[in-house]
Amino acid sequence: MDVMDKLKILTDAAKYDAACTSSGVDRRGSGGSIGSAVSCGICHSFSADGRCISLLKVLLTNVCRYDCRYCVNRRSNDVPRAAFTPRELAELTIQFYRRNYIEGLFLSSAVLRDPNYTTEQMIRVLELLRNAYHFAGYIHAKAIPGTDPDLITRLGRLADRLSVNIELPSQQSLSLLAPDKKKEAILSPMQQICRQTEENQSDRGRYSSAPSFAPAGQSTQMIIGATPDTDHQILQLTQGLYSKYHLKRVFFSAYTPVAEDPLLPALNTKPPLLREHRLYQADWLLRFYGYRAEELLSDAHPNFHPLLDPKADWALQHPEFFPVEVTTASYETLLRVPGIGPASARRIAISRRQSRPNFTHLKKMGVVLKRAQYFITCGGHTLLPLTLSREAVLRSLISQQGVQWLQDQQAFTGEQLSLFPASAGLLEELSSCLPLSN
Amino acid sequence: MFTPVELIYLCEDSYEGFLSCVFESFLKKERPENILSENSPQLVLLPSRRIPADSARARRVEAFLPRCLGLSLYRLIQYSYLSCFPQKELYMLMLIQETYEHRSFNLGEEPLHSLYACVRRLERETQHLKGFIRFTDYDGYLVSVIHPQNYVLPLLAGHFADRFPQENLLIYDAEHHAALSCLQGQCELFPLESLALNEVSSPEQQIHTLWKEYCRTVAIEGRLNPPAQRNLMPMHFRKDMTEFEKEVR
Repeated sequence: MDVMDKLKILTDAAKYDAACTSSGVDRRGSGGSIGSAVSCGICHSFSADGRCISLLKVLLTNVCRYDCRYCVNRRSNDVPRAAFTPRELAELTIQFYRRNYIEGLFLSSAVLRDPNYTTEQMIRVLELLRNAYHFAGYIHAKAIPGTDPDLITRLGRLADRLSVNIELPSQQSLSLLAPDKKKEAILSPMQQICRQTEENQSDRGRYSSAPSFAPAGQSTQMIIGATPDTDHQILQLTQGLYSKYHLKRVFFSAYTPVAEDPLLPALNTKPPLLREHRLYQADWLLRFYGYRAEELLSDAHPNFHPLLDPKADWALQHPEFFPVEVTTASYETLLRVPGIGPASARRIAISRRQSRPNFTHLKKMGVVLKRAQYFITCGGHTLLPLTLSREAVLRSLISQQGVQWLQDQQAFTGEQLSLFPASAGLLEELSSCLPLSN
Repeated sequence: MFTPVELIYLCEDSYEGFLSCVFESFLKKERPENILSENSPQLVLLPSRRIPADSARARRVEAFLPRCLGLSLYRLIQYSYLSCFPQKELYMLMLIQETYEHRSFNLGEEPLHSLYACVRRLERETQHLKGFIRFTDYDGYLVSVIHPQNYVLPLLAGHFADRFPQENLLIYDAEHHAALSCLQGQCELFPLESLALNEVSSPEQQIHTLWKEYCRTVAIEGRLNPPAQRNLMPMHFRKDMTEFEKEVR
C-alpha cells in the first residue's frame, strides 16, 4: 500500500476528532532546526465543511482492538485498515511543513494490541521528528486511556499539547457504548497530565534548562448527540473539567452516525450542529465572559434556546441587571450586554478615559448596536424611546437563520418540534414577534 | 494651530517623501487639502506644491514622532503606511497634527477610526498570508507567489526567516512588484518586475497531489458548508494555493 492510500484511509479515520488548533505555545525558531510556533495558532486552510486545517491530522493506524459502538474504526466494522511506518509519517510531516501547508502534526491512533504498545509507536514517530529531523513545529498528541504513566511522561516531553478524549458526557453512556474505555482509565491520565504540566511550568520558571512537558496544556473532546444527556449536564461537566483539570479547551463533536445500532440514534439522523454551536457559544461565555454554568442553564431549563444564543437568553431572563450605563460600568458588567464582546468592552474602557463616548462612537468601536440598544444607556440616554415591547427586543436578538426556522415551523408543524424540547408557550411567544406573513 | 489651506501636496512615493511632507506642514503651520503621489494620474483642480524628499528633514521628523505620539500611535503610523488605504498620507498627517495640538484622542472619531480600521485589515491580511502562502520546491529553493492588497512583505519576513532558518525562500508579491528573499535566515527586500517559473518537477507534483487529497478527505460529508469556507478563506487567496490549483493536464 503506498503513502497516498494510507493517507486517504488514515485521514478519513481521524477526521471526526474535532480538535485541530495549533495554538497555545510561542516558540522561536533556532539555527539547527526547522519550525516555530505562535501562540495564537495559524489557520493554513479551510476544508469544505468550514473547519480550519492547521495540522496534519491522522491516525498512526486504524487497526483497533476495541469495539466502541459509535466509532468508525471499531473492531467489528469492515473498513480498509492501514498503518504508517514512523519514517513515512515523519517524512510526510516535514515535507508538508516545509511548503507551509501545516503548522505541525496531530497524531492519534486506534488501539493496536494494547494502549502501551500503541503509545510506544507514537513516541517513535515523535522522537524521529524532534531528534532526527530537528522539528520545532507544533505537535498535538492523543494520550490513549489506560497507558502507563511513564509513557505519558515521555509523550508529553515530545508533544506541545496532549489530550485524552472524554468521549461521552456520562459514565452510564460510557459503559453502554464504549465498555472497553473505563472512566478511571480516562480520568487518571488527565489528572497526571494536569499535575505534570503545572509542575513543569513552575520548573521552567526556575530552571531555564528544564525540559518542557506539554507547554500548550491539555484539552479534551466529547461527542454530542449520541446519548440522551441534556445540555445542562454537558455544560456542568465542561465547567467541572475546566476547574478540576485546568484544560485549555473542551471540544464538542456533533455525532455523525456511522453504524446501525439499537443504542445509538438512527443512521439517517442529521448531526446536531445547532446544539454543538450553542455549546461552543456557552463554552466561550464560561471562558471569556465570566459566566457560570448555573447562570446559563438549570434543571428547570436543561437545554439551550433554539433561537437565542445563551448570552441573549440570559439577558432577557434578567431584566433587573439592565440598563447598563456605558460610561461608568465596569469591564465585567459591559461584557454581559448582548452586542458587546471583550474587544469592544476593552475599547470602550480605553477611550472613555480620554473622552465621553456617544452612540456613534460605540458603533465605530465595534459594539453591535442592533442588539445592545435595548440594554445600554450612554450618558443617561437610550438610543430608542423607552416604550418597547418584549416582542421587539426578541425580534432583534434572533438571527436571520432563526427567523427562517421559525417561519418553517409555522408552515410545517410536526416531528421537527421534537428536535428541541421547547414548550408550546415558548413557540407561541416567538411566533407573535414575527410579522404576519406566510 | 494648523490652518487648513486649499493646496495639494505632491510627494514622492516613499516613506521619506511622506516624512518630508510632515516637515513642510509643520514648517508652514498648515494642513493641506490632500496629499497625493507625484506619479498619481489623478487630475487636480486645486493648486499643488511639489515636496521633494529630503533625507535630513525626514530623519528629524522620524526622531520627533515617537516622542510626540507615544509608541503605540507611532506604530500605528508606521503600519498605516504599509496599508492600501487610498488617503493614508493625509490621515496620518492629520493624526500627527491633532495629537501634537490636543494630546487626546477618541477611538470613534476620524482620523483614528479609519487608520485603526486599515491597520486591522493589514494585520488580518498578514495573518491570513502566514497560513495561506504555499511554497513550491524548485531544486531546493522554496518559491511562492502572492497577490496581496496591502504591502505585507516586511511583516512576513521575520516570521518565515525564523521558521525556516536553513531553507532558501523567495516570496514574490505580484501586485506591488517586489520580492522577499530569505536565504539561510537572512532577509532582503527588493523590487522585481516579474517572475518566470519552470515547470513543477514530478516528485514535487506528487507532494501537491498528496496535499490536495488530504484537504479533500478531511472534510466531513454530513457537514459541508461552502459559505463558511468562503467566509473564512476569501476567494482571492485561492489562486495562489496548491490545493485549489487546476489539475495538471
